[in-house]
Amino acid sequence: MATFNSRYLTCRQISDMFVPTQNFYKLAKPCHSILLGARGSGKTTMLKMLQPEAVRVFNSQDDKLDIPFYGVYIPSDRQWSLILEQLDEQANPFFKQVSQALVNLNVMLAFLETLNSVLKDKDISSSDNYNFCKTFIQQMRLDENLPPVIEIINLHLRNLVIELQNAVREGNYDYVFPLVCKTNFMDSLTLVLGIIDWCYSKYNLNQLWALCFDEMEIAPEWLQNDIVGHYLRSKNQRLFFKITSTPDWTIPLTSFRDPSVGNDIEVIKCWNSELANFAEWKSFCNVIIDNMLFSKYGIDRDALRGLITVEKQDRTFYLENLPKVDKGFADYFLRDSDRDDNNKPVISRSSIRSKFYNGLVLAMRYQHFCYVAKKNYSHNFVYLGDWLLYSMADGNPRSLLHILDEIPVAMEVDGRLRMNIPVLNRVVREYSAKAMEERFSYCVMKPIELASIKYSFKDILMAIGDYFRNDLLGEKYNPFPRTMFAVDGSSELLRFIHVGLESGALIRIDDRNAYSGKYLNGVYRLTFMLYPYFGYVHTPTKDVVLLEDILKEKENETK
Amino acid sequence: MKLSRISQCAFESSCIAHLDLVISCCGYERRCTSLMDYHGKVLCAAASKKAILFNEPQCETLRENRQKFQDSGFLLFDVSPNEEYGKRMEVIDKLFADIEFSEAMTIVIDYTSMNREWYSSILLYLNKFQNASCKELECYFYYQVPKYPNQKDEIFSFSGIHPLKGFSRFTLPEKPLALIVGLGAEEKALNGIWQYADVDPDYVHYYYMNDEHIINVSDNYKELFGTINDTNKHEFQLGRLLPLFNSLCDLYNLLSDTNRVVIISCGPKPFTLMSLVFAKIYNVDVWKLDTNVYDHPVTKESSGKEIVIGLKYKG
Repeated sequence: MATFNSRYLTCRQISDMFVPTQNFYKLAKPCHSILLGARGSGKTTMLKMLQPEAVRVFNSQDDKLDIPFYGVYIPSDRQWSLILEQLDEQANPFFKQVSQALVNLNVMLAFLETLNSVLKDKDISSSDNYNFCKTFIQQMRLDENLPPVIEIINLHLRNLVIELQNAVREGNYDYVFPLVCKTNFMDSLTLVLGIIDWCYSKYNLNQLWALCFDEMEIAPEWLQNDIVGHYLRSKNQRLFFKITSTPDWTIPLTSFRDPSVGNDIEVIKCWNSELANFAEWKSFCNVIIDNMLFSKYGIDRDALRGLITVEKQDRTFYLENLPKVDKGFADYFLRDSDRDDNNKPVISRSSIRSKFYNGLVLAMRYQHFCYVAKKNYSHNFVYLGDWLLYSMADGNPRSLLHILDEIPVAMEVDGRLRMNIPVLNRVVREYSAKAMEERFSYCVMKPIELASIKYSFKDILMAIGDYFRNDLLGEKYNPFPRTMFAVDGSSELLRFIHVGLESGALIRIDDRNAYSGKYLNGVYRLTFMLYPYFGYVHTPTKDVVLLEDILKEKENETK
Repeated sequence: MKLSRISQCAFESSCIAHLDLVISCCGYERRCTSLMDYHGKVLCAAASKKAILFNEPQCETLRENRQKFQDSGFLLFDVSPNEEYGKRMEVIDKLFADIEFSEAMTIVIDYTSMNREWYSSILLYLNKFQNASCKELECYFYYQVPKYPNQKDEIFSFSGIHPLKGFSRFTLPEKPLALIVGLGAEEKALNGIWQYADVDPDYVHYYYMNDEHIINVSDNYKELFGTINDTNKHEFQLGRLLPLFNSLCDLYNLLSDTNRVVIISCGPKPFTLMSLVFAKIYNVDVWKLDTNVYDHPVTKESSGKEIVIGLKYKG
């Protein structure tokens, strides 16, 4: 199975499959941006598409992208923070200096690579290049004997990384850090922009540069603090930041916890299958569906929907048939009925309180109780049709690509797609189970101890899924089954939320109208991807359950 | 001192006739006493016998093992399995203290029941070891193969992945990750690695043990092996670890220009030991899985099969 991870893809590979979205156009504005989203939500792809080479490739074959700056893609490294922790940077400032030097070199190398790519287009004279490199070497106090060639400078900077590695390995705490290592990258780049202006003024280069820091949540803490505390407020009008992070990135400064446009910082959220953004998400999906399936199977989107959709029963069907198999529902429903002369219930439709009978809830209970009673019921439409195409991936492009990979597995016969609902239903459930068993069950999280019980990430996920399933399908009919939860105050469970958001197992509910009550730590639900696994559906119920209560109930059940 | 030779041999070979120092580990596993059980006579003649004594998990077998170590004349050092690096090094320094150094010395290190924090630290210690009298140090790493349980560890879980202290370095995050994974009996561990590393499957290489007389783990991974290229599967045998070492070197040479190579071992300790030796020579990062095995100890028993790796250091 392909990973669809764009981190190491080339600009051409990324451009080839790129579909610009509203979020991308927001990101392409010349201001500081913070792009938040789970793994696979397309953050890295968007960031990499800001690079001049990616824009060039895209524009050579498709619509014109007009990016008013040069994007410098700067990857992060999960290991840096962990190694720093181990080396005890607090006890020995040498290690923090090493970390700072690596970041400075990393940024400078990325900047030079982007500059090189920009200059490729411009037919630069060799004397101008010579002047740039010579001045760069002088100003950065690199070895004077270094040939003034940008590739050689690049190599030299890489050698400095090896020097740093050796200094760490040998415990050479007296190592003298070269200027280019110890000067913070904002100061260095300000200087380099001056050199660019001086050497390349006649080539009409763009004045603006965006430093695109990917995966900020795993960057060393000092870098996060510096960017948020200082650089985002920098007066340098030519350099700004594009930062990606997980949805709950705890930005260290409270004043930036809720940045706004007026603050020259735009926060862009990449979980766009929420109701407010659903139309945009849907049109994005449509382009991907067309690209992936039409070329291979010659089938258009509408034809595909026809093959994967089962007609729904209307509510009357369930109101008539559900009481026959579902005692909990019958007890509840028959309160609304009158009795005839023989004391048998007579359902008076006018008395039915429609809000208590959500069609989807009835359908789920009917399927469930038919299954319990071992009665065949073939109208299982819940996880098919539009739900499968647009909702299951839940705003996550990587998941969408995986799902579109799976659909033909259920339907392909001799190279053509054919309707096969039972198999499709099975594939959807298996895919959901696979997401649970392989993707989310092993998320890295130190166990959380509550009331002397240790919970792994999987334990908590299971408790939530089981709870909501029971709310929907329990013996007692609940007309308003819940699907959202929140976490109390300063609970340890916030670690669970963090890991869940990063992995995409949890989705944060941004729409304050979608739930009732106030929750300081936000309101969440499981990703739709897991709904077939647990066997429940999204309902419009606004009630929110505290995760602590879910776990308490689980504990009581266990006892 | 510098590592000058790697070999694999039988314990009874004449080169282990005289031992200057025996270092062992007393833990909760039944097999941790196997060196005494199988080679008591050789141990009797050893000049010095020392062992780290894990203080957890407290259980009956730990108390029994402790008594056995004491009865056999071992000097015990009470430690935690998860002791911090600095403390580990202090203790290892004590293990090597108060012994009579000569020009050529022979040491046996029984790492059967040590966790990798401890035996990786011993490797690091040996790399930096200096003694005016000692010019040649022959270290035999002894491992007793356990009887593998028939049942899977159903409550296995893991809580994190960390760079192993002393086996990690700062690098620029510019090359795609290539993982070398040592497969063990517990296939669930793999899912965690996927989650953490987010690595392209084409860049993952799997080493799996195929000793019919010990355990063949390939059965555990049928589904995985059905989906990956043959070039990404590497079979090895515990009885032939030098070809394994060479294979790691070849793979490194193939990948290192274009990838950042990282090793994660979920496999048997001899594989982990060899990968650590290799990683130290080639400056390759090693990551470690944090699991819950200490929450539910399985008292593994000896199988009677042993694997001995000789590392010769010269000063």
